[in-house]
Amino acid sequence: CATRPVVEYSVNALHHQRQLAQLQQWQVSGKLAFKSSEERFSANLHWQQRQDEYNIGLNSFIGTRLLSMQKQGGRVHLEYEDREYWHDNAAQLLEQMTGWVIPVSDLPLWIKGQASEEAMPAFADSGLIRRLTTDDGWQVSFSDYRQQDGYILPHALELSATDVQIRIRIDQWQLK
Amino acid sequence: AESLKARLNNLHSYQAEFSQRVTDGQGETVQQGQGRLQLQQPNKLRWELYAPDNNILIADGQTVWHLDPFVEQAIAIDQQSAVQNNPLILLAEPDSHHWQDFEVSRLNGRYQITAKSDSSQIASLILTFDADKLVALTMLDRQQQTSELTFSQIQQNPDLSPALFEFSLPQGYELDDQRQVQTGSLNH
Repeated sequence: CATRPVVEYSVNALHHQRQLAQLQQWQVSGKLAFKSSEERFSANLHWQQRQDEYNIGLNSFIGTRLLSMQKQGGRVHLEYEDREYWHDNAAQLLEQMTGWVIPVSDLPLWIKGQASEEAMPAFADSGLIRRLTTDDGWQVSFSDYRQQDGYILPHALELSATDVQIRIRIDQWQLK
Repeated sequence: AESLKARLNNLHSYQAEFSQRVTDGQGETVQQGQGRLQLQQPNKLRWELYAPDNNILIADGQTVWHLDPFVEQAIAIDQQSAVQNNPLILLAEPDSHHWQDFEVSRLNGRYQITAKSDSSQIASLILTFDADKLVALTMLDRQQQTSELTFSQIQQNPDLSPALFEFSLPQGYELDDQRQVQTGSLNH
């Protein structure tokens, strides 16, 4: 099948990170897979980010809503299995209610290929982040970088921590 | 419900390409896809999404198989219990007794199938016919999210190979078998 030509980018890592930091309004749709010792599932992912507020939807492949999570004004709202919850820590709320360990508060940066403050990034020769690790045990790898509206953005992420593997495939980026 | 069942009954088999658009409660498009739907009386269905999604749903009359290449997993559910959460399966079974769990109302060429119990994930299904051709299908879930399918290259009563509705687990895939242990026949 037609594979994407391997494009070699070359950017100044610091400049690229700063540029990503300016990118405050975006939307992605794609797929999220979650594997742990007790559970394995995948869902269609839709993520809308505006400054530090977000609206996340996980849907089944026939289009029904599995879960939605919004962050507004520092509060997080989760809708899952016909019940609603509020909390100020998204990852904790998600894990308590669903059992899924997903680093929700770091993903707005990682999805763009941007390192979060305390993360230890490893840059490829291209100047783009290839991997990063955090001191609370997350290992994240970035790939399938493509040009979009003047940004170079990843289209595949793999995150792992003890007993958890998450894969995110981004099919479409929309930048405001 | 009779006239809808009558229409579905004389639809011995059906095949169409579909384009899918999912919009959330605020009208935002959250998901899109292309694929193919195939139905075969009395109770078989195949729903295949093309790349990049590539998910396949096969109802073989006994079991609904959901093949998910992204996690290399297949899930098996008893077809009889799958119907509540997915009235789509009902389309393949016009004479199933499960129709009583749904109310059917008609507005000229459009039929609305509404789940009576509120435990099913899909609140209602709208089938749109143009003359006797099924041209669109819309699913509304409990969170007011709608999944609209518009059909094209519609073939009604084509002969479809039985292999389309037979499932085999691909190499390296995990099977999550959620079927109840068959103590008696489920289709009572």
